[in-house]
Amino acid sequence: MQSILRVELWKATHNIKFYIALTAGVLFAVLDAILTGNGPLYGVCMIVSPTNLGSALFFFFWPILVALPYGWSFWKEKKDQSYIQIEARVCRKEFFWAKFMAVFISGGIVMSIPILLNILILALFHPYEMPHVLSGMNALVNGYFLSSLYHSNLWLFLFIWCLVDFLWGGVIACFCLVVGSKPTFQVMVILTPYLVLLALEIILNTFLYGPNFTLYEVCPMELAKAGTLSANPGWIIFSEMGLFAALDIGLGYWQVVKHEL
Amino acid sequence: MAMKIEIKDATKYIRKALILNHVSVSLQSGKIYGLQGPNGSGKTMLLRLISGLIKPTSGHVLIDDKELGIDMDFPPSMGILIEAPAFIDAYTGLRNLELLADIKQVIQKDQIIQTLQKIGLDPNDRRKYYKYSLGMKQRLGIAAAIMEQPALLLLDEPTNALDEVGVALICNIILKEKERGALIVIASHDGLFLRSLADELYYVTEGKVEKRNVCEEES
Repeated sequence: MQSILRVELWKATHNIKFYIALTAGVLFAVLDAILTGNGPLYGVCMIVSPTNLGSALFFFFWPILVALPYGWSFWKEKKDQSYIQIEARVCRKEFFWAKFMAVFISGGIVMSIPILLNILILALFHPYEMPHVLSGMNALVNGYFLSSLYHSNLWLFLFIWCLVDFLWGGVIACFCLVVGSKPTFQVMVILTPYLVLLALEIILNTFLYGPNFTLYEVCPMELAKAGTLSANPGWIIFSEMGLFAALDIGLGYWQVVKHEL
Repeated sequence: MAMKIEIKDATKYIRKALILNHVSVSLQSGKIYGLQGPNGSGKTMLLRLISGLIKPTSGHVLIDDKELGIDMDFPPSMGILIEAPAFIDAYTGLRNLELLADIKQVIQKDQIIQTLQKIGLDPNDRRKYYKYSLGMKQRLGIAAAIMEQPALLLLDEPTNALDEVGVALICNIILKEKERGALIVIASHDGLFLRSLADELYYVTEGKVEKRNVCEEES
């Protein structure tokens, strides 16, 4: 298992699409840092306050960015039959788990590195102050995930959110495995998570929310932000993440292991 | 190293189409088995069945008395070249083989280099795989199949895209693999090539496999 995982990880992080996705994510994060206004760190970093073009682009296209590095790999290996050489050397279960982890980690890296970089760049130019509960700038009040930590230990809050976004990136990137090798074109595999999340966003916004009433944020595409319009409690974030992970593992396992290659 | 493969009454349907029809074959180490037949007759599917890539709809494939698909996912020591060889476009031939060898970790880099030289490829060639000619891709595919000295070698149309020198080289390599004690199964539509190598020849047509005498074929 270790050796196939090492090989898959090497392939996942040494390909042009990984570099393109990471570069695009970093550019969006830097753009956000350039365009952001004045204010203390707790109110300007893009994960808390996604209010300008850089963060808007990042949080609109992140499902594509995380799928781009390696989400397409199973589709490609199945289409060009190169999986045969791997399957002659390792059993399908190990192949699936190695592929799953490589896709997960590559997606997680592309999601979390730009956010971390954005925090570090902004920390160079913006004062570190603790948000006050009565301050007008702090968007995170009771009901938001880790809101008490936001008001007591900002650095820990930000780094935990980087980790949460690493998990989001990984889980959504692995959604590419769900479609297996069925799509005709590679671009469809890469766009699958994006289209699914976009469809969920439209459906949930149309049917679940009443006019001007949003108690909780439930759209998975929005849950990658710490500062959402409605509260984003941890149980919603991790329930949805768990649901996606279950789909990834269940359907992905069927596509790669049970489905005859 | 010694390996025995028994295919017992294996039938395979894919989307209701009969691909293999009650196939029963016994294969053992140190021999070369040829599968001859027209395009679409089921030669490649038989190789995929032996390799564990597909499971029979009915019947059994036994490797050393252990059932493929139940006791094991794939034969424990196997080199395979099925259909067109495929590798990662952005890496050199050597890097592609290194990545594959990394999975089992039974050979070192110098053995990979030796295999590349044996097959007629330059290990120092810095060209990426996508710049390889068809013949070079085929040679790399054969190198991947033989580099770990497998007990079972499955080759589907190994002479595709090779020139006369290349075909002679491959014949020589296959015979050396046989001397080493490998069980070799070759599928090809080229009867002359198969008869020059095979100890036993099977004719595959419409999913049925029928044993032919090599000497009779030659006459």
